[in-house]
Amino acid sequence: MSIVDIPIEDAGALQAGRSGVRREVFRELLRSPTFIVGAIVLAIWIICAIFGPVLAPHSPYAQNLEGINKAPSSGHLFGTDQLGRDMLSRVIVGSRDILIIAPLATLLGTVLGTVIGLLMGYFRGFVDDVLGRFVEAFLAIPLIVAGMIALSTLGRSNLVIIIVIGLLFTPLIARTVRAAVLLERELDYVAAARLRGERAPYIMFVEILPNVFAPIMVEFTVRLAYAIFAVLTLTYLGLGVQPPSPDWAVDIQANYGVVPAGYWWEVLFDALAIATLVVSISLISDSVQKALEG
Amino acid sequence: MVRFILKRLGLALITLWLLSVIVFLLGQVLPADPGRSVLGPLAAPSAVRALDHQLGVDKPVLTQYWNWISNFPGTSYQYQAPIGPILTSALGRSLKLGIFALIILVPLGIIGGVVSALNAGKPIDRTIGIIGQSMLTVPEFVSGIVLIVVFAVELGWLPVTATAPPGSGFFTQLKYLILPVIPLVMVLFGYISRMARVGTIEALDSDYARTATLKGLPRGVVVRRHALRNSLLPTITVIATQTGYLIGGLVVVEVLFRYNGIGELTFNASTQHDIPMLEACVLTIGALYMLVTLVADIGYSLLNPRIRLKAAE
Amino acid sequence: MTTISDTVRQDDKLPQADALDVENLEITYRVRGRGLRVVRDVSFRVGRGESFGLVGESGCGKSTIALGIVRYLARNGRVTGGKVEIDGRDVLALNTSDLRKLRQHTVSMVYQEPGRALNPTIRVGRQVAEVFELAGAQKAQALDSAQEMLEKVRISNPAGVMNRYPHQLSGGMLQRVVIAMALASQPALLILDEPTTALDATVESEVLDLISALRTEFGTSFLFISHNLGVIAKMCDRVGVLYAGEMVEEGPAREVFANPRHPYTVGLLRCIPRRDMLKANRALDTIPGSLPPPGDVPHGCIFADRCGLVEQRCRTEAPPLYESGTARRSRCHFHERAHTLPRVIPPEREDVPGERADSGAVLINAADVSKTFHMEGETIYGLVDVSVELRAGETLGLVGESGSGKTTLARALLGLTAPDKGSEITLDGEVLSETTSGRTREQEKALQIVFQNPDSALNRRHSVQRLISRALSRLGGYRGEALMARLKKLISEVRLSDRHLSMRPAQLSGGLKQRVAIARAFAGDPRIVVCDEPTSALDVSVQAAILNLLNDLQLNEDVSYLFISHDLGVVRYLADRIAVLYLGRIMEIGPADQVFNPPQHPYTEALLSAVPTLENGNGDFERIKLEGEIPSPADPPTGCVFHTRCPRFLGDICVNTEPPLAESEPGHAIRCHIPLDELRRLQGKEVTVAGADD
Repeated sequence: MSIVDIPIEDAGALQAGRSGVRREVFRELLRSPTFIVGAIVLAIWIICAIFGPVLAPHSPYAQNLEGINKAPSSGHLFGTDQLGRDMLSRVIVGSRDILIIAPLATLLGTVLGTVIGLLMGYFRGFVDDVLGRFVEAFLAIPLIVAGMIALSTLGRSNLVIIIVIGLLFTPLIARTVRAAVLLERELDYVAAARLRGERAPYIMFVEILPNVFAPIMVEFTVRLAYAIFAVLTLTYLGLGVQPPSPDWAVDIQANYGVVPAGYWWEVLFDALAIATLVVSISLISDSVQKALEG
Repeated sequence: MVRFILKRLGLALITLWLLSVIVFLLGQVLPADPGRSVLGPLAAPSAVRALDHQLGVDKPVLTQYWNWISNFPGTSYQYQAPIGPILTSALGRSLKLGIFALIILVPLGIIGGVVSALNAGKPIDRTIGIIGQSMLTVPEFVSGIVLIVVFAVELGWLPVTATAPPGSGFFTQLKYLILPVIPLVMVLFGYISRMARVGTIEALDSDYARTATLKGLPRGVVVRRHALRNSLLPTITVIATQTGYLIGGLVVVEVLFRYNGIGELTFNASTQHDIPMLEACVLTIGALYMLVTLVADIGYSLLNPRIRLKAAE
Repeated sequence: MTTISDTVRQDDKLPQADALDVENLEITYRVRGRGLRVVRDVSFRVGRGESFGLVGESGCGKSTIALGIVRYLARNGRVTGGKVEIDGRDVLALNTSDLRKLRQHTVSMVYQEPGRALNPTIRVGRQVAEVFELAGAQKAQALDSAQEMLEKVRISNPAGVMNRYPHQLSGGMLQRVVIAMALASQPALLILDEPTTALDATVESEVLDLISALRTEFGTSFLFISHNLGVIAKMCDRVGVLYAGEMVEEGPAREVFANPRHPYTVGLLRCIPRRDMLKANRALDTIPGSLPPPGDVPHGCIFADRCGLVEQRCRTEAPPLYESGTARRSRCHFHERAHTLPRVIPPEREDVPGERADSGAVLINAADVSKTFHMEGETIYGLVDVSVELRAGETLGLVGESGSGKTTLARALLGLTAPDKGSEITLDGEVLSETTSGRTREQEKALQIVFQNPDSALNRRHSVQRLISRALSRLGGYRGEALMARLKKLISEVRLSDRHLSMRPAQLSGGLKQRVAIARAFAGDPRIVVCDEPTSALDVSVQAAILNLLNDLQLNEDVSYLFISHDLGVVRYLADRIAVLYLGRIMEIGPADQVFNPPQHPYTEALLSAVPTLENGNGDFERIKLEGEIPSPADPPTGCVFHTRCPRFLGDICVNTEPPLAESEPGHAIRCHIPLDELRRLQGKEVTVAGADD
C-alpha cells in the first residue's frame, strides 16, 4: 500500500524563527522600565570603573593637608576627606575593585555550584546524601561570618576574597540547581537519552543543563547583588581591601568616626554610590527574572 | 512521629559535626603558622615557636581536633579567660536583638506579601515590591550609617549606640535597640514579602480556591480559610532559612552600633586573631542556625497533614 | 436533610425559566496587549432537568465558556458580548454579593481533577459541611448533613471518609465528594467539566452512572463538557459541537452523532475507531490541516481551511446557524450535504496481513517478571510473575487501569526499571541486562519507545534536526551524508517537512511533536517499539493521523509494537493480541478477537462494558457494574486479586487461592477459577449493536 501523501499544514506552528525565544526575552527586557533604569545606572558605574582615572578631576590619592574636611564646593563637588583628598575622584575610582571582584566571585560560585548541583540532582542516592551534608554544613554558617573567619586566617588579598566568596556561594547555587535538575530528570527526554545509551556526563551537560539555564541566570544576577553586598560589608569590617584604596567601604570605615563632627559628605556619597549600584543590579535581576518566566 | 523527629535530629547532628570539622580546619590547619598569625609579624621566632607548641600545632591533626573538641569552648587569647561565660552572655544579648527584629519583621513581611497578592498588579503591589526589592540589597552598614546620621546625630531622637546603660529597664533597652533593628528588618523584608506574595498568589489561583469561591463562599473566607492556610505553610521554612542572613546582619549591626553581642565578639576575635574564640563563636552561630532550621522543618511537617499522617503511620 | 434552596432561593422569576440560557456569548482574552476573541457568538439553552453536552477538541473554548458562565475567568479574560441567564437571572449584570448568592444556591461546578479541587489541609467532611454552614446550619448539623450527602453519592463508610484528608482518598472517591459538595445546595444547574477524564474506565462508568441517577433524584439540569463523544452520547440529551470558539452544530445527541450535519462533526466521527474497524481492513480518516491560532478570526467560515466541501462562498461569507432539521442547527452553507464530505484517506487498505501475527518468530520473551517497589516503608507490588511473548510483526496491546503494571512492564522490558531477581527477559534468545547500561548497542537499537507526552519526551532546547540526528548517529551509526539522507527520508515518512528541522518543540503542535518522537524512535531501525499511550494526550482528529502513521510504519519497517493504552477502542483497532492486566498480574491474554468476546475473564468483560462508546451510548445492553475502588498495589487482596470486585465471585476459593493463568484455547489464557464452559454459558453470546457507521 502506498503511503498517501498528505501535506500537513501547520498553521498552528508559531511564527518565531530559530532563536525566537531569545529575541522575545530581549525585547521584553527592553520594554521594562526597571531594566532600563538598572542598566543605565550600572552602565554609568562600569564606565567609571574602566575610565576612572581619566574621568576623575583629581587624583584620588593626592593629599592636600591644607584643604582637609572641606564641604562640597565647585572645586570639589563631593568635598574632601580627612587627608584633603577629593571625594568625587575617590568615589569614581572606587567603583573599580568592587566591579571586578564581585562578578568574578559570582562566576566562580555559579560554575562550581552548577556542577555540584548537576551531580547531586542527577545521581541522587549516595552522592546526593554525602554532598548534601557538606552543602548544609556550609550553609549553616552565615556568609559574612564565614567570610570573616576565612579572611582573617587566610589573608586579605583580592584573590582570596574572590575565592572565598566564590566557594561560599557554591552551596547556595548548588541547592537551586539541584532542585531544578530533580524536576528535569523525571521528564521523558532523559529516559529517551538513556535508551540511546548516552552516558551520564552527556545527559547532565548536553540534555539537562540547557533546560536549567534560566534558573541559573536568575541565580547569577541575584547572587551578584549579594556578592557586592558581602564584599562591601567585609571591607567595611576591615577584612577586605585596605586603605589607601579609594574603595567605597574603606572610606566609610575610615571616615565614619568624624561624622558626628558634621562632616557628613565624607560618608554619604560613598553610601549613595553603594546604594545605587546594588539597587541597579537588583532591578536588572528582577526584570530578567520576570522576562524569563513570562 | 517520634522516629521522624529523631531521624531529623540525627541528620542535624551529623551536619553539626561536619561543621565543627570545617571550622577547625579553617582556624587551625590552613594558616601555615597559627602562632605567627596570632602574635603578628613582629614577634620573635622563639615566642612564636613556644606559642605553637602550646597550641599543639606540632601534634597530629586528629589530636589537635580532639583537644579542641573536648575542651570546647576553651580559653580566649585576648581575654585570657574561659570563653564559655563570655560567649553565653554575648549570645543572650544577640538573641534579644534578633528576636526583636523577627517580631517586627515576620508580621510586616507576611502582611506586605499578602496585601501584594490580594492586589496583584495594582499600584500598591508594585510599590511594596519595589520598596522591598530596593531595601533588599542595601548593606546593613550603609542603611545603618544613614539612620545614625539622620536620627541620632542630626535629629537626636535616638541613641547612637545600642547598649543601654547597665540596670536600665525593659523599655529603655528597647529604645536603644530601635535603630539597630531597622537595617536588619530592611534587608530581610523584601525576600519574605516576596515569598509570601508568591505563595498567596499560587494559593489564590489554585483549583481549591476556585472550588471555594464557586461554592459561594465570601472572598474573606476563601482567603483566610483556604488560601492563606496553604500559602503560609511554606513561608515558615523561608523565614527559617532567612535567619542565616539575619545572623550575618547582626554582626555588622553590632559592630556599627557597638553592641556586645556574639557578632561583635566574633568580629573582635577575627581582628585580634583570637582563634579559639573565633572558632567557638562560629560553631555556636552555626549550631544556632541549624537549630532554627530544624525547628522550622519539624513545625512544617507537623502542620502539613500529608507529612504528619505519613510520619505517624 | 434541609432543602436549602426551597427556603432561601429568591423567587423573582417563574419556576419554568430555563436552567441556562446563553445568547451570542463572546469572551476575549488579553495576551501581550492584543485582545483574542476565543469564544464567539455561542448560543444554547439548557431546559429544566435537561442534560446538554458541549463537545470539542482542544482550543474550542468549552472550558472557557463554563468559566465564563459563572464569571470565573482568568485575570486577563472577560465576557465581551452576549447574555447569560441562569434560572432566569442575568448573570453578567449581578453585583458581587448577588453573584456570590447565585453561586451558592443556583449553580455548582464539578471539575476534571478532583484531587486538586479540594483543600489539602482541611478534612473532607468539613469542606462538604461548609456548604451547609454557609446556608445557616450550625456546625454539628452541617456535619450530619454532609455525611448524608456522602451516602447519597454511594460512598461506603461515609463516617470514615468524612475524617480523611484529600490525599488519602482515591480519584473516584474524591470525585464523588466533589459531586456531593456540588449537589448539596440543590442547584438548578450543575456544570461538569471533564468530570471523569482523569479517572480509570471502571471507576469512570460508576461515576457516570451516579451522575445520571442523581440527575433523576435531584432534578438538576446538567451542562456536561467533554472531548469524549462516547461519554457525551451516554450522558446528554442534546449536544453542541464547538470548533475554535464557535458552535458549529447543535441538536439531540443521538441524532447529531448518527447523522451529523456539519463537515467538522462528520470528519470527527470518522476519526474514531469503531467496533468493527480493524487496522487490517480500514484506515482511520483524518481532518487535514490544524487548528487556527486562538482568536484568529477569518472573514468566512472558521472551518473553511480544513473542509473538503469548501467553495468560494465559504471564504467570503461567514455562515450563520442554519436550521437543519427539527431542533437542529448547523453553521454550514451546505449542511444538507455535509455527509458527502470526501474522505481524506481511502478507507480500504491494500495489503492483507493475513495470519502474520501467529507465524512470526518470537522476539521478546519475558518470563516471571516481577517488580516490587519499596517506598517510604511501603511495599508496592508493581508486577507479579508476568510472562509474555512478543512476536515479529505483531502488535501486542497492554490494557489495564491504574496500578495494573502496564507501564512498569514496558519499562522493565526497556531496561529503564530493573525488575526483581528471578525475572528473565530475552531478546532473540539472549538475556537482556536489567538496566540500559548493561545492554549492547544492537539491543538498544532494537528496542525503542514512543512516550505519551511529547512535551516531556523531546528536549525543548534542542532543534528537531538535532533530536533526530543524535538518535541516527548514536543508534544507527550514521554519519555525514548518509545521516542527512536518512534524516530526510525519516522526515518524509512521518509527514514532516524540511522547514520543521530548524524548529524547537515549543513551536510545534502536539501532533507534530509526536511525529518527531516517532521519527526519533525509528531512527535506529528498531525491531520493537513500545508505544506508551502515544495518542492519549492528543486530540481525536490528530490521534487518527498518528495511529494511521504507526500502522503504515509497522508495515513498511516490519516492527512489532507493544501498545499500551487505556482506550479500548484504539486497542481493539490496532492490536493483534491483547494482554489484560490488573494489579500487576495478567488476567487474560490472547488474540484480540478472542479476548474481546466471551468466554473472557470477568474483569475484561466488565472493562469492555464500562467504556461508553458511540455504539452503546443507548445503553441497549446490560452494563456490568463493578463495586468499590481499585485496590492499592501496596495492599492487594488475597487469592485472586480481583475477587473484591468480581461480579462473578464464586466463594472461598476466590479469596484463598490465586487461580493459575490457564489456557482456554490455543494461544488464549484466562486466570479465573470459573470453568470455561461455565464462563461461556454465563457470558452468553456476543452482543451486537447496530453501530453508526459512515
